[in-house]
Amino acid sequence: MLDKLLEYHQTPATDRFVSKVMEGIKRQQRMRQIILTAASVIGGSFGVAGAMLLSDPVGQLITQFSAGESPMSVGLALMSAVAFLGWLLHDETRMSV
Amino acid sequence: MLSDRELATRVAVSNDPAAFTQLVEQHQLAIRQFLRRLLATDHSTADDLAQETFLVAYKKLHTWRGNGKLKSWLHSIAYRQFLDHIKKHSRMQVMAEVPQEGFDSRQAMDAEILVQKLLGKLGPLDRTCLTLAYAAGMSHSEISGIVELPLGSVKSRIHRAKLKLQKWLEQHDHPIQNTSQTPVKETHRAG
Repeated sequence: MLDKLLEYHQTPATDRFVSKVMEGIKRQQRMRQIILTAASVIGGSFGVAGAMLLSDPVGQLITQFSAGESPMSVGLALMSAVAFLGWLLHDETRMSV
Repeated sequence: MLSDRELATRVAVSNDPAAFTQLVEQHQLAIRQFLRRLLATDHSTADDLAQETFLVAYKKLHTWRGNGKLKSWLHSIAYRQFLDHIKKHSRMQVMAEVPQEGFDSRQAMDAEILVQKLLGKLGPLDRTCLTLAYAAGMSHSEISGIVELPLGSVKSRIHRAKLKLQKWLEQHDHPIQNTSQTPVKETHRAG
């Protein structure tokens, strides 16, 4: 008898509940988008500021390196950089598929 | 009709809102009834916690292992929400709220009032175990997974809680047979 009594007896109306949950999810996604955009803007602005600060010393370093080293060393360095980027991008492509 | 696992995969892989809407539609009734039964005091709070349960489920759906039932997984999230709520509102008292009229029959309302009064005699854990066993129709091992207690503890808790309620009913000479023998007629159905 108690078993029967302990069963659920009420059936709550469903009309607004599902739409409220989906609205909550949309709100969360919008908030996530705002946070990601804000973080990207802040990170990007710091990146640009850093690049501007380093542009002169880096330019000088490349000029000195290319003037002082043999064309073969420069070619090797460039190939290494391209190979590294190729490996990195190839990995990214596989992950996004 | 797609299974829970197929719908969950659609949500986790392609972030499909229609698939999640379908999951919410299928499971909202069980979760809301469960939280309403546990909270008893406030149906709107129970519904808020149920909403929160589905928001958490949406975020963590990729962590659900398809070998268990989604229903059990959702109940375990709902139970955590309930525990967090009573931790925040530690002075909360479980008191029977008069169920809303218009959706359910008089017998159903009377039975619900009596159940809420009875469950108010139990602690939150016993209330949860008893509700999952007799209202949600879960097995003892499923309950053990939800409340994170050993199977033996769950069985003994359910047994002791039931004895306590039976004793209370006997002491108060409650006409329980009249309530339970009448089939509960629900005038409003979901969907």
